[in-house]
Amino acid sequence: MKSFKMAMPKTLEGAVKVLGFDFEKRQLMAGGTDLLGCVKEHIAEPEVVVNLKGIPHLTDVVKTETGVEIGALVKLDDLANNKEIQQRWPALAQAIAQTATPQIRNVGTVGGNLCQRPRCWYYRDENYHCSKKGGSTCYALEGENEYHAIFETGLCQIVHPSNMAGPLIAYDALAEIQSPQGTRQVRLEKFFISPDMNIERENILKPNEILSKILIPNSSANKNSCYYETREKQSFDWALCGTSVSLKLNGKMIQEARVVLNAIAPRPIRRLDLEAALTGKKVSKRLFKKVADMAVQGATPLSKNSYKIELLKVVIERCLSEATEA
Amino acid sequence: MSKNADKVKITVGFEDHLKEISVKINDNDVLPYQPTDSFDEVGQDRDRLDAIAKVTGAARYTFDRKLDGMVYGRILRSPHPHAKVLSIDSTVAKKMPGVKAIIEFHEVFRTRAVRYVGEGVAAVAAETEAQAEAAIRALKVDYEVLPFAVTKEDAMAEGAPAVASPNSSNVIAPRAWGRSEKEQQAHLEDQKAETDEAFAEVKHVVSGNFSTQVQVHNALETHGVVCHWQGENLKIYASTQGTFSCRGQATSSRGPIKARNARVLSEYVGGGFGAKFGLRREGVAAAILAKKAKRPVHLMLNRREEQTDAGNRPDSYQELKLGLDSKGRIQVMRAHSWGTAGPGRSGAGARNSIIYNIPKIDKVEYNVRTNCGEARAMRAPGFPQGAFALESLLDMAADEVGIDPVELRKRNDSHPIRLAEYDMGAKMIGWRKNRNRNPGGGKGAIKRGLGCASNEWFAAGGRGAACLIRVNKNGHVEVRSGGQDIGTGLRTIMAQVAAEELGLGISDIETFIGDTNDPRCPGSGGSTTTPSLMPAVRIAAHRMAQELLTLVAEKLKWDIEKLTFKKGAVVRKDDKKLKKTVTFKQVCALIEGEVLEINEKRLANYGGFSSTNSGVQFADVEVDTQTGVVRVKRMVAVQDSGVILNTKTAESQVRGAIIQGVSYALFENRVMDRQKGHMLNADLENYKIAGALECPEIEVKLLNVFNGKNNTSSMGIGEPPIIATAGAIANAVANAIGVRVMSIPITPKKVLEALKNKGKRK
Ligand SMILES: Cc1cc2nc3c(=O)[nH]c(=O)nc-3n(C[C@H](O)[C@H](O)[C@H](O)COP(=O)(O)OP(=O)(O)OC[C@H]3O[C@@H](n4cnc5c(N)ncnc54)[C@H](O)[C@@H]3O)c2cc1C
Repeated sequence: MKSFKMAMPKTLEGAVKVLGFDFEKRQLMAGGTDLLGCVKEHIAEPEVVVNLKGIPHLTDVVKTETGVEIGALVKLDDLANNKEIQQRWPALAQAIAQTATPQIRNVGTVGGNLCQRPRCWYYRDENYHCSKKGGSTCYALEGENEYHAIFETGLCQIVHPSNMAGPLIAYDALAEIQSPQGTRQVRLEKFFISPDMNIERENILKPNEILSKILIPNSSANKNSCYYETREKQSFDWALCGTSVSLKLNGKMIQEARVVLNAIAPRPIRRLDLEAALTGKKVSKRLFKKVADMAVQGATPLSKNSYKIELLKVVIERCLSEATEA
Repeated sequence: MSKNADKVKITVGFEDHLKEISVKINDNDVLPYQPTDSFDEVGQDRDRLDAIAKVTGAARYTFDRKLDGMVYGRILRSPHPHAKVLSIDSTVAKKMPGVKAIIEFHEVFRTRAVRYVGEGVAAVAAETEAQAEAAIRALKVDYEVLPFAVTKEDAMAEGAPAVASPNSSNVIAPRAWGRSEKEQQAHLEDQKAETDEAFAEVKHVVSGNFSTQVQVHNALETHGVVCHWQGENLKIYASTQGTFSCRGQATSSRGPIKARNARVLSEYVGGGFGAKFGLRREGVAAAILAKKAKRPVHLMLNRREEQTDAGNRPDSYQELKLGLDSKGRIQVMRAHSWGTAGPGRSGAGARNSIIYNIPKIDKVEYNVRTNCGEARAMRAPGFPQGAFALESLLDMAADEVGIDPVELRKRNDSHPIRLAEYDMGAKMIGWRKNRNRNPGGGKGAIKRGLGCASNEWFAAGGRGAACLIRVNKNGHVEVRSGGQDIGTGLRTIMAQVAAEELGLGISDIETFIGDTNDPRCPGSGGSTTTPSLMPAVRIAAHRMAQELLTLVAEKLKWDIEKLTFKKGAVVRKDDKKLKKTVTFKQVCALIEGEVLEINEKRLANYGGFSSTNSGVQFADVEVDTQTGVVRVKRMVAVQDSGVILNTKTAESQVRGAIIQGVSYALFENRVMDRQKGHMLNADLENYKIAGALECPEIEVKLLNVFNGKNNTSSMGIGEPPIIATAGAIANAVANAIGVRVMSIPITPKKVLEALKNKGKRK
């Protein structure tokens, strides 16, 4: 790995100043579980690493009148074990529990998880100068694409790696962003972008911006929510397909729905069409099956991953069933 | 015990299958362990002597060595799957901070060809690992890039580029055993014609095409060495399965190192699985770098290098066909297979013709060259591949004939031990009760199924090992062999066997291994370390006991023939009380001079009961037919390995093999990119290895077999149990879902695709 200088700013404002305008040269580090991997593999070669650890309060989980605020540096494990989260936003705790390994969850952070770089094996190999790295080819298109995207394919076939983004979006979470001009809040679903917006990035952050916290509104606290994924291996593996749902029920009647799919596209995708199909309907196996069938309409699988279509249907049905059984 | 040259009668066999045979005991040897012997140490459940050191990190592996003035070596590797190194420019690298030495591989290994991504090209030694890494990246290599093929299919396609060299074919014909090309052709044709005739006559014919993936050894400790020259002599700390073969390589007058003498040290080895024989290129490079740098060099591979340049189990594509009579007895088999062992020419066979009785076989194995990392022996080389295919086909045959799969196996098997093992295993797994009578049927997404498969191995060991025992006047006992422990518990069983003869406990004994200054020991391959070394330990310990007993017998005028050691003291063999208690320590105090030393070597094998050991495994799986996820809930293994010296370490080999077998059956898979020829998952994240949640409940029944092949009657057990696992799991999956996945790993994708195709066929 290439050696780098480490900056330890004391404030978010200070951190933003150090970052500058070039993604390549200066990079943020939270837990470092992803960044240092990239550095070791020569995917990232920053001159300066801006360590967020010295900034106070980024590790806080604060209950407010309107909901809960989660600092970007909150460790995955701490969040998953937070009683409030487990009780009021169970899908989030479920998603984190299925993320990575205990060791990584003890070090990895919320901000790092949402901003982690894709795990596509072509992207992660320095010998492949792929389009995400400024090249002109996506090697996954013609290559080994068993684990790649089945939606929004074409330019870049990655799947966004974050599990927890799904439930957060389903809970209407907001992302607070620190920039040189101050802070702003965006809906988390708008935080993630597809390759046609910027093939080299997975979110809207500019080089000198930091995801400082996540805000989850009280109104989304909801027992009828669930995160469900399948994977090849149970002890730590990446999801093949994942779904998050959050439903407001009146008896058996679905009054409001959120459905977010992950591990199937370059970004977590909220599906308004599926939400509409659920809203105002009575909970039933038939309804769920119909929604699952609808979900995969328009999928554009690659040469080796059409199995993910069947899988996604199952995952959606099971996720909806579990959410309504709660 | 007998020393006479005439034949003596010994009892051999197991449980209620015991019989007497006559053997001529080698001069100097002791009788093989007998069913009537009583043991205090041998055959007991003993923790590893080094367990605490290993789990606390006190055990020092090669990787952990830090010598004064030590520098770090790194290897530059080809990014091209096939190329010729034209020149290497090291002007920049030479001047970089910390750099102490640079070597070019074409000078050391006399070839400019690189035949796979990751093959070494040059190496640098520098003060820190980071400096060495930076320096190799600064080397400028001019390559002539050549066309390549990384899959068998690509290498066999018409017009495929020559993988190894322009004048060698990618597909290598089966071994001709001295036949001319023409004779070989005729031979293969005859073989085919003869089997065709047999197929025409049988009642049932079943066939199937199976494939298996490339599996990478991935031992926990990667390959590597620390090399330290002391004048013309070389000291090598090596993570190796063969201390003495490393020594031989370092001192060979034909090799590039040419040390006057070498000492290889391998106190702890973090696994090998067959890939760690000899110094290999990284070891040779380290030795030469150390000489050039005049500093000790530490050179350990990283995980990517371990996956791409340190061996693998070849893949296979197998076309299998079986002919059976109306009773389900196999009459004929055809097994044609293709496998790739990388750019080399051999090693990719699929072994499947030894377990069952098959009168006529048409077996042809092709090796296909590819521009991929070279294969090396891996835990039962060739066998798990072959067993997966044949065991699958046997279950298909049982369906066809309409008999129970276990019954079908028994009708085609004549191994005396395995025949008993089928029944034991079937009972343990609840074969009759738990087998799915309606595969794929019933309600719910989760289906359960059971499967069976068997194994066989030839682990009686042989000559080439010796053991030194040294007893101090103060009672301290040292047992030494220069061999290595790749994780089987060698230290512990050496102590047990010696302790048994000396009437001591294992904690009274200090065992030393992994140092070529101690007596020789063969490399740990073929599961033979235990049966090769333990007989030497036993003779040495036995003779030591005799010498010590002579000292007391002479002093107290006792009859030595009546004496032995037990529980730390001299006792009478007939259990009668001696007039006086003399402890082991008191006997040692009689030693004249400071120490007694005995160095004994292993003698030839006897005929014994069986030269092969065997096993049967049963899998109990659950398959989620909607997600395609297979979970192995339970594995039952009945396994024999001669006399079991330590039930705990032996069982642990079986468990380890099953876990690796589950991993092979369901997860592991080297993924090659056909566009640029790189391995895409050369890490432990996407190269998936079974973890804690993938481990089934494992029940092991060890069968104690008094096989009489050597004085300890022991055999090896490291490899055989991995042979059956994937086959048993594949059969259980088929029993669960009513459709067969013809290739491993059995991933959700393949299960879903198989179920979908089954739906279509209906
Ligand atoms: C073996 C393995 C398995 C894994 N499995 C899963 C899985 O199944 N599911 C899953 O969701 N994840 C998985 N992960 C990813 C893991 O969750 C992330 O590595 C971790 O959450 C990253 O957090 P970190 O604090 O260490 O991030 P870092 O490594 O410090 O940062 C990651 C990236 O985010 C940027 N970044 C960090 N913080 C901020 C911020 N506040 N604002 C803007 N940018 C920021 C960094 O610049 C860097 O590019 C796995 C990782 C590994 C290594």
